[in-house]
Amino acid sequence: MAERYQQRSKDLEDVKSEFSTYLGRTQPGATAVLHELQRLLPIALIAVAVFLWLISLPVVKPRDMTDIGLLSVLPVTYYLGLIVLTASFSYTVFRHAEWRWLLFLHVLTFIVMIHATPAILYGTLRYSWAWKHVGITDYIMRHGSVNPNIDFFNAYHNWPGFFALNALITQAAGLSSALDYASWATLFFNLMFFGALLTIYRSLTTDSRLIWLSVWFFFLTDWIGQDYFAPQSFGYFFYLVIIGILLRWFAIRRQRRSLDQTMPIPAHPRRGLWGWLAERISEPVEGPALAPAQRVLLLAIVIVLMASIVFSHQLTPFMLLSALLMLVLFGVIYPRSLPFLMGVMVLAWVFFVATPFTGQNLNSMLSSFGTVKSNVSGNLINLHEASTGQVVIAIMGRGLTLMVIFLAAAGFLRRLRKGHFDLAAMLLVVIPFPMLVANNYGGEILFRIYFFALPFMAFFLSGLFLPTQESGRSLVAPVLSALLSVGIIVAFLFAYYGKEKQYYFTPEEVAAANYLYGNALPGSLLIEGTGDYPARFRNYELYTYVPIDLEPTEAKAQIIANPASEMQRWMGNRQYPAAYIFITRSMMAEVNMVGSMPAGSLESITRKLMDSDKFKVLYSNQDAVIFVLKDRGP
Amino acid sequence: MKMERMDLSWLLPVALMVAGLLTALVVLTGIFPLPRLVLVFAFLFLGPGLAFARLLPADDIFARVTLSIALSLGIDAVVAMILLYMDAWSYQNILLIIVGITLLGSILQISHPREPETVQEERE
Repeated sequence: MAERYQQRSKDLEDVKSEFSTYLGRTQPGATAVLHELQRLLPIALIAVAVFLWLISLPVVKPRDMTDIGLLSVLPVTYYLGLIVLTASFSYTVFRHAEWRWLLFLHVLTFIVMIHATPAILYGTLRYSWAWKHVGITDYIMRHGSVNPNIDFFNAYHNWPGFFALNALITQAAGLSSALDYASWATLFFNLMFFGALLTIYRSLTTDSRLIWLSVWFFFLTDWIGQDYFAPQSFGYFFYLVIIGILLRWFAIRRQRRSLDQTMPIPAHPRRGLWGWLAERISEPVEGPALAPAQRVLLLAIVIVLMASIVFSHQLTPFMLLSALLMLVLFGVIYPRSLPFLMGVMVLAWVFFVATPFTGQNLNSMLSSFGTVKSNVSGNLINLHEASTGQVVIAIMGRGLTLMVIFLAAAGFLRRLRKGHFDLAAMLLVVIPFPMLVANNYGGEILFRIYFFALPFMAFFLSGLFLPTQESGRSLVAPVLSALLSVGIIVAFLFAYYGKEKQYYFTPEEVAAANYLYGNALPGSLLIEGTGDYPARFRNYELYTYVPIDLEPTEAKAQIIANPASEMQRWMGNRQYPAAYIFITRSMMAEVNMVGSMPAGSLESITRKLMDSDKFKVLYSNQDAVIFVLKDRGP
Repeated sequence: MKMERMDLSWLLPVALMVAGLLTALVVLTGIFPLPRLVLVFAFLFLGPGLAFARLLPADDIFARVTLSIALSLGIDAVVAMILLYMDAWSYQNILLIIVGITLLGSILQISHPREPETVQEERE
């Protein structure tokens, strides 16, 4: 009986084996076809998204924007394209994370759809500060030097690295101004952030899904707008690269494991709380072992990038210094001398090179130290003064920020419960926040803190869906992730595109600004409605600027009530060889949206000056007007 | 059976040296505006970094390209700043120094070639 049973079992195994062999012969072809079809699906969806985006662009009229910015003029096909892309990404990242090139294409497409759109639609450089940065570049091109004691923008003359680099690029390329390429800086910097983030996330986890989902969520939640032609974007890119290099190739756990690869082991094993924490660093990722020459070269790169940050931007060096200090103190990275080196470089620059700026501003910097409440409140627009659309935009931005912080905290806790204590990422989330105590950074510190913490908050946000390698296999995680992505994209579009009415400059505004800077006499007084126009991009140091909206409240009230006599008094000042009043569409948009003056103030001032017999119009087109005094003349 | 791949490691450094010299030529002579624009952007954004990229441990193309661009811009910025603060600003001289650094990195690559990679061909 037992023999018969054994024989039947053997027969059954043989049949199974033969069937498996048969399947093995026939299945691969079918599986391969199915596999290829599965791969074609995301490619087709990306193509659909790109098609929808491309057919959206020709119908957009930026001039028609309302106070919710680009959202008011983008057609439904644009949003459909983003939804298709999101669905395709969610499917691919959760089901086929091994298709790295496809995931790369998804993120690339998203970046292009978001960040190339304004450059393509406008045809002019967006955002007034970008124009001002072109102006500093222009200064270096003309003078071959900087003037650290200059009245306007002296911070830029004390941290001129970014501008020197652009002066070099512009002159070497034979261009007359950085304006020729500055519109594409936003796309460029986002692509650079992309590469740097991949390096960082690969050092934090081996889970390919988590890496790509983190990248995705970073770009969905980076609504701050610090990605334009600016030293901050430049410094931030280098910050990410430095953190990526250090976490990937100079993490202490890897150093220990690579003992046989010529790497030194720390002289004293870590003890106490820090040692306990250090033992729990993130995922124990094994990276390529470093040869001594590679280690030297990587450290040389880090030092070159550190130096570039130190002489290019005021805030980023301190963010990097804090990050290096904490990562070294908690035993996450080596060499331990890096924070010391960075500290010496920062202090040397601040106190021995940028002395004109430091001397002028040290007191105000010290006085804002510790004033957390004012440092925070200085960052937010007054919702009572803003237009309805801007209130919605502000709420969306604030809501998105709070949601990211909340979801990131939840993701951190979820991963912690599953046994992942992501010390490095946690430290890098926390490190920027003490800056709130230190300074208000011109009313922007809150946003910069979010910006620097964001890569690691995006990692934890993704960790909410993928706390372990085994999680996220069911349908729930991809569906929830896709739904959350769509929700975030809605908030992101409001927050990121919501101020475009004031950031966009029409060709007519640019023509007027060109006329002004091409014809105004050196030493003239330029009275601006606000600073929001294609401003100070040429010969900027030759003029004195007075934006009306920055005047004290009483002075503004007097100007609005009686602009002709007030302006006549200002412009009659013989200290200046000539005086001009410049008012544009974008200035009016800013005033009416943000509420720096009562809505309609600049329109009213323009009308009254037009009606006044004391002023004449020197130049005008449909979006801008330049006034001069009749009896003085430029 | 072990097959040795053709050693093409000299190709990139040689291409970089040629690109550097061409860039210097078009910038110093001011001829060919369009090629000048393309060459200058490509060279300043990638050249110096790629000259050292072969020595980097990056294990994927994304990291390698990002590091190359970051290093290129870093070197460009440092050289530009040094000449700016020496009151010796000259974009031609800055470019020549950067070309020199690129040549140095390229020569290093050629003089320290990586071991030729081998592939194991499986016998059926």
